[in-house]
Amino acid sequence: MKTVSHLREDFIEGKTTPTKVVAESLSLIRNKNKDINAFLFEYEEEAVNLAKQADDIYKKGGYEKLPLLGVPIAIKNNILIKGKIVTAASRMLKNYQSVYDATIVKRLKEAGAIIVGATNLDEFAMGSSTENSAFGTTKNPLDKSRVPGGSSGGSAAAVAMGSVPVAIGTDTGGSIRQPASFCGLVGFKPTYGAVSRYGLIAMGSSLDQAGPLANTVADAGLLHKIISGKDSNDATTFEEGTYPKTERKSKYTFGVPEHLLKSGVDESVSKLFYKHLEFLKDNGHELKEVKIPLFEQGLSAYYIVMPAEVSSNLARYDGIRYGLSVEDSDDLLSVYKKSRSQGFGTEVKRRVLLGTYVLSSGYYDAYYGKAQIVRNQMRSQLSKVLQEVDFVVTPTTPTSAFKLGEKADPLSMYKQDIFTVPANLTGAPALTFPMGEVSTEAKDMPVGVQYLGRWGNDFDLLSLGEDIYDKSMIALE
Amino acid sequence: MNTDDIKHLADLSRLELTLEDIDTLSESLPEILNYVSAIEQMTDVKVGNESGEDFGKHYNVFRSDEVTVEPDYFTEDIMNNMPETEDRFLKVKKILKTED
Repeated sequence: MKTVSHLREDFIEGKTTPTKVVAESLSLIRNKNKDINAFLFEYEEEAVNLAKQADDIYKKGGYEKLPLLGVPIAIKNNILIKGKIVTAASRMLKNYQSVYDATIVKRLKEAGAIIVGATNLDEFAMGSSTENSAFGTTKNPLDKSRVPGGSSGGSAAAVAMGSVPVAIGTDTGGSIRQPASFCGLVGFKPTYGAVSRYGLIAMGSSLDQAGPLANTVADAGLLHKIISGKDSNDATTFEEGTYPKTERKSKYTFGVPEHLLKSGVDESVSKLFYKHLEFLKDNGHELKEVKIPLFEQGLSAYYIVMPAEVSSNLARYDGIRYGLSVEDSDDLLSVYKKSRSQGFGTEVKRRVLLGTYVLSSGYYDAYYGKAQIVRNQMRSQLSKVLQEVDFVVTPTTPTSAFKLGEKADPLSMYKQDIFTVPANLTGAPALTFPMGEVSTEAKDMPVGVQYLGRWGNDFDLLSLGEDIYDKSMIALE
Repeated sequence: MNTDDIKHLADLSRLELTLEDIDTLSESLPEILNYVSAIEQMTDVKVGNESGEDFGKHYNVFRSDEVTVEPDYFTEDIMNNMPETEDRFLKVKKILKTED
């Protein structure tokens, strides 16, 4: 599908209408979703009605203040949309009807966007392949024998199969960036606190951020502009001016943490990455080797902090106030236990147990306490590095999209997150876009490059990406 | 970590595990814990900020103490999601077991 900015132009000039575009979007979903399973829900009737209203506004005027008017968009199904079923891809919330709009949904609606459907994910956003969904696996539209990545695999597939120009995902340890890398898209994880978490089904509250998946960096930026900003319903959102501004330059210094590339990265991926670095040099930018030693322990710290927060956050699903409730229990305790056991899938249970373990007395200091110290140290190491260089650049993922069912052992799945978790643990913004394709047995598959920027300077990172992505793609051709 | 440890953890987590669950978990949990315990070996991490740069301000954010939505605004929708209700109340199972 055309980009958001392109659609907007066409709407204004009358070359096409929201009704036509929404109809195209819905028919693509109808045709392709059986195969791909990107969408859990589609909102045909509402979308068609909203499109008609949008047609009128473009004809009669008044669209100026509605930057996304008539643009079809997909929302990950762990973000609340009032009146809709929001499942988090869990049996636990199979029938949960959302009571209010998440702040980001409210802002998208107010900007005129048309939500055409809600997308699949790993249950409660826990996973890197969208194979953990209680409602079936999502497939990669570029090669259906492969995963789209996760946990925002449905949102990535929705954009990659052409049904929407942009989709919203959430990122706790790479859940926007890794699927973007696997599906050949742009993905953006904002600075922690840039985007309101009000109405997001919480996984790891100190790590979660919502952000866009798109075909171009410009579209990702457009979406970020609308969903970001202070929200009185999320006390962790910050105001403009909280973080010092960085100056715009035409030539930048990029930090490359070579020590992170030593192990576990596919040769084809690192080859492509070094080619991308060459491109940066050819364009007059400076490269500098940097050391962020604790990033190597990032994964360990992440798989302590995240399950700890998961076990606390998911304690609310007890079969009492909402969600699955197993009736044939004789007392309150067995309602809790039976509902949780039947409602949660294996990976969710695993993380709840892990979290309970690392938080239990006797282990707390050794695991959670230590992980928090490491996390703070990671932040200060990154901060120091970002005084010497403007951005840190790494591959987004150690491999391209793997096969469905290939990573059955949880630890090998967790290792997918090696390059992405530092941004969540430190709160820094991170952008991924395709850096080229690697050959696999069937066809060439894309893989992303990740740029990590300074806290609060999300729009600088996005405009850098806009400039570099286009040029680097031309250079590849 | 043996089967009893896992059962105890499950108890704390308010989960009932099937034998199959226990089987899978007694394999993967120790493996994951072993991996993350790399963090225990790190004795040289210092507390505090070694760079001195302010990488994010932390302060409390309060909102004014006033009603922002009308009473009952969400009540019906919230009650519709409840598994069991009676009048305007949420109904739960017995907490204490009585011997009769």
